[in-house]
Amino acid sequence: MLGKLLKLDIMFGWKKFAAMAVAVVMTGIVLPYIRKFYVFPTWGFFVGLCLIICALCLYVCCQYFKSNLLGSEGYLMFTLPVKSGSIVLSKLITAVFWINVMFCAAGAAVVFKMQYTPAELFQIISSVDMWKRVIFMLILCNIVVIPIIASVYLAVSSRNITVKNKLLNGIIAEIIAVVGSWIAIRASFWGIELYNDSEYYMSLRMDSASKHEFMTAWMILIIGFAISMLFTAIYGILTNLIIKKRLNLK
Amino acid sequence: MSDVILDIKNVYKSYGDNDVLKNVSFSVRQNRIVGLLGPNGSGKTTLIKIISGLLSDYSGRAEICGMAPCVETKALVSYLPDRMSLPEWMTVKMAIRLFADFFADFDTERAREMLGTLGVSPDKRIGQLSKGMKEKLQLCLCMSRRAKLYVLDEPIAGVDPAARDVIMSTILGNFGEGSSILLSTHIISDVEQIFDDVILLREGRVELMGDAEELRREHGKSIDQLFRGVFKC
Repeated sequence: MLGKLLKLDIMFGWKKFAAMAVAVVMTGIVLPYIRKFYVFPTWGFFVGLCLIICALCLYVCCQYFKSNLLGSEGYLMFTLPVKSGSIVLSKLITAVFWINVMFCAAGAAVVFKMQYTPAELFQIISSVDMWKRVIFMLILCNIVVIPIIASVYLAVSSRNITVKNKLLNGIIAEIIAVVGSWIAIRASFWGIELYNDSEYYMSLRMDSASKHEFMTAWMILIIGFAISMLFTAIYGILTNLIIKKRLNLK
Repeated sequence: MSDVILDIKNVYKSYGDNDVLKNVSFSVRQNRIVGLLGPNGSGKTTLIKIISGLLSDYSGRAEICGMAPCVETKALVSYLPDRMSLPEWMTVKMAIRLFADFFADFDTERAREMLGTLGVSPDKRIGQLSKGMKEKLQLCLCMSRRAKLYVLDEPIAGVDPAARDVIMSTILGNFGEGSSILLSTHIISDVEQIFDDVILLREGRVELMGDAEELRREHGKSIDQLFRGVFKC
């Protein structure tokens, strides 16, 4: 049933997300031709682009979560013979999928902006080191984004299910989202912060670091990802519990 | 084996300080069409939401075929909501496929036939359909299931009298052996002839219930007249 739910959830938003992804790639293609906006595709440019996309994507995902489950469409979703946990999990997986599609679109945009020749592009694509960097970056972004989605889902469900003291519950929900995300991200990054020098850590992951340092960097990243998943699971379970025990469709 | 499909015992529900259902108890047996009647705000929709598994925060006992509302009961109950629950971008065809994917008892052929009879085009997007057509589509999807219990929330509200006849004949024509229907409405005159039993709700309490024919005989009035007498301001 999870597969069917995923198919349905992807159908719900594919047009909007596909349009966003195309817009991101088009930005990368068009930017070099607009001289006055010419900006070198630096690390900052890439991170900035990712953050904007993430925020937009997160907003759209949360809107879908709210309208699909807690609005009129909830009358369909919660009468399907599936567990509420599967519904929440499907929403989470779909949001992560779309955000990763956006990251890939942002990556493609950067490649287009660099205006590589086909030979250079082939060289980059065939480089193992480049793929290591891409995977590293994707994991790093997911460590941040996934618990944010889960904590926002938790906040949205707790806010929309309450009947009394709506304003107070709304404020509490926002606190849950902000504090929940902050705790999850800080906990996931504890290993990286041990270095006290994030640039040094970033250099370990790919360049001329020794095999031991390289493995340490990846191990820290994987542990960070596991912590992030643990927080995501906690927030997901709480969201499911709220929906299961306190569902109150208006 | 008991022929009780739906058993409601002392169900109580409040929204904040507003008590919507106050110790409601009744049961629905197999092969019965039960009218759940009451004015707006009497608690009909809340009760139906509990039965369909859309409200979990209540006290008392609600059982469908001996089980509290859960995944298993959702496979036994075919629910028609009082609002459009299908997304506007979806086509009628996609909605049929969605129901066929999730409900093992969904009869696709039956749905296509019913939609053809009611004049709903399968290629249209739901957003392009009129309000009446949307209601017909939801009714077709609901009645195309071979469910144990059909829970219909205001199926004839907001449609013209001619469409009401079509909707009622669709309900009666597709209601199978061994099933029951719980139909909520406040428009009684057009539908009272189909009820085997009626339950009158008033401010969250069961005001009157029983066999429709016996009530008519006992009070010397139609159910509609009885309803108007009970709820006279």
